[in-house]
Amino acid sequence: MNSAHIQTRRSLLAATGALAAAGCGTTSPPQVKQKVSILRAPSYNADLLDTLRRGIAAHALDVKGKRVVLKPNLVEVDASVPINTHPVFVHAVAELFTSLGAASVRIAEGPGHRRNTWELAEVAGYFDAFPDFEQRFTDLNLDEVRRVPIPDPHSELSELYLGQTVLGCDLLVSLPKLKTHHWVGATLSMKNFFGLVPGGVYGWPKNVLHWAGIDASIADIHKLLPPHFAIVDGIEGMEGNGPIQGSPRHAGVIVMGSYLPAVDATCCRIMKIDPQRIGHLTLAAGAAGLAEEYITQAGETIPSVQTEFALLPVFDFLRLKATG
Amino acid sequence: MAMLALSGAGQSPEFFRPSLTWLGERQSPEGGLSPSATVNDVTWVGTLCSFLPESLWGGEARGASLRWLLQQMPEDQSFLFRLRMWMLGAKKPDVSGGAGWSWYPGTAAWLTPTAYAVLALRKLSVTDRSEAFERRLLQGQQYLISRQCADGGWNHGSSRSLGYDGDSYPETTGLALMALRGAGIEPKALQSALRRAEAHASTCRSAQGLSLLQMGLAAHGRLAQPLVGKQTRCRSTMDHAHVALAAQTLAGRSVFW
Repeated sequence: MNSAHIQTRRSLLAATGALAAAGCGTTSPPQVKQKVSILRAPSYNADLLDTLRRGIAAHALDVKGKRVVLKPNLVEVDASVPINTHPVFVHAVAELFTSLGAASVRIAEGPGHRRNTWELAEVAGYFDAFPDFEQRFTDLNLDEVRRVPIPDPHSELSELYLGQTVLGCDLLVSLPKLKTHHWVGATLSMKNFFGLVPGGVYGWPKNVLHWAGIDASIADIHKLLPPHFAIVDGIEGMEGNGPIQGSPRHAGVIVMGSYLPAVDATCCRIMKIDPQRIGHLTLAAGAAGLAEEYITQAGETIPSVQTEFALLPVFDFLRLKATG
Repeated sequence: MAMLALSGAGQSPEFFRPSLTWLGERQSPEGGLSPSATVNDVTWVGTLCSFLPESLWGGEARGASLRWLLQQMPEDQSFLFRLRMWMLGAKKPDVSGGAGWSWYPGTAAWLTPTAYAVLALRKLSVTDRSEAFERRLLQGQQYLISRQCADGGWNHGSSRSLGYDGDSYPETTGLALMALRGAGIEPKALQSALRRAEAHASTCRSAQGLSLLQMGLAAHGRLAQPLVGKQTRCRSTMDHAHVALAAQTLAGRSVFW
């Protein structure tokens, strides 16, 4: 069997899944337009905190007295490629929320491949960025859990165990990396929440989510979230065979907002990916809910920061044909 | 893991009474165990009880654990999975990959639960060499061998995906080497694995990673001096337990074989 046939088979499957998700999405578009901000951030330098402060102020996000949990994307470590949310980025967000009066700012993650989260965090530079990292961090893979029923699930799952740290917080902030993904096209603020699912129950990887359908599981997890917000580290992203083995791609942006499908749709458009062809986004928001007219774009415009991210050939059909 | 380390350190049975009560409450009628009081589902964790001495985990509890272990077959052995893999581009059915164990019911096999299951079966087959034991043990070993990464080590169990080689990890390389002790692994593959383990040992800083590498290398008689030392930083109970287990292994008292 030649590779062209294999490619066709996989492409067909991926395209069918995306189209089915688009067609079957029963979620209504949001009643109000969702605000998403795009901020220019050329590097992880000293201006980062000010840039983030401007963004959060534009969203009037009130964190005073709240228990905030930051959920970065901590996956694996390869010094040659930006796999994880940059620790300096996470530190800047933590500093910002602390200065805005948050009662506490914890960092929590449950990596999907490596059981030894502490080592992963250390090698990824989190201990260097946070002198008090051990006190601040919760390994969600080993957190105390509670079973949560999924209302009207998209996947075969009817319930999921989730960590008490996440279920008990007042604001959960997704801090993903801007990356392409070899199974679902793009991994952004929604896919980042795979890390909420405890490996201590489901294993490494959290294979139960794969068997239940990756896109559908992402959409289901989105239904279980406490109040949330997303701030995407799009300064150095990853293109091609993401989320681990892709190539670095500089995009120089931060994207933020409270409605995750809209944040991720904007990120997709920045990467020149059609969000209405990403299965989990259409399941969560409906294809219409991802349309640009439902999103109030603040800060920079999409065309001004658009950076085409290379896609695996199997995902050629995701390419955004034209902006707007 | 803490119980394993303490049992290997010679603590009295009385010391373990509360822990054993807790474990007993987790065991289902079928023999598997749930990982905590708030989780109803039975997962891979029951395998670890097989390494406790019979004086602590014996009789019906031990028998039920073993029956459960032998009954487990991962979902990747099903027709549905093979069809899915074909749709995703697998060139042909993987008939040489053996059959491992999964983390969670109804999912595929992965490296860590398979390695612990192989170690458990091999330890227990010293006294029970039934055909079912031997067949399942062989399937597990084949699974581990088939998941060796191109760099010689092992990762979570995905050695190659979409045409790209996956990199190995220190902890899973050590664990796979432990499980393949005496398994008749091809000499070239074994040498490659041992070289990779030694390379990981020279850069790995974590207590668990170094401990598992120490046990993996010791399993093949390839360790001149301990990898885990006073400088190794322990951050959790799991870290301390692994360090103790590695020290016991080097002293010739491994709970795993």
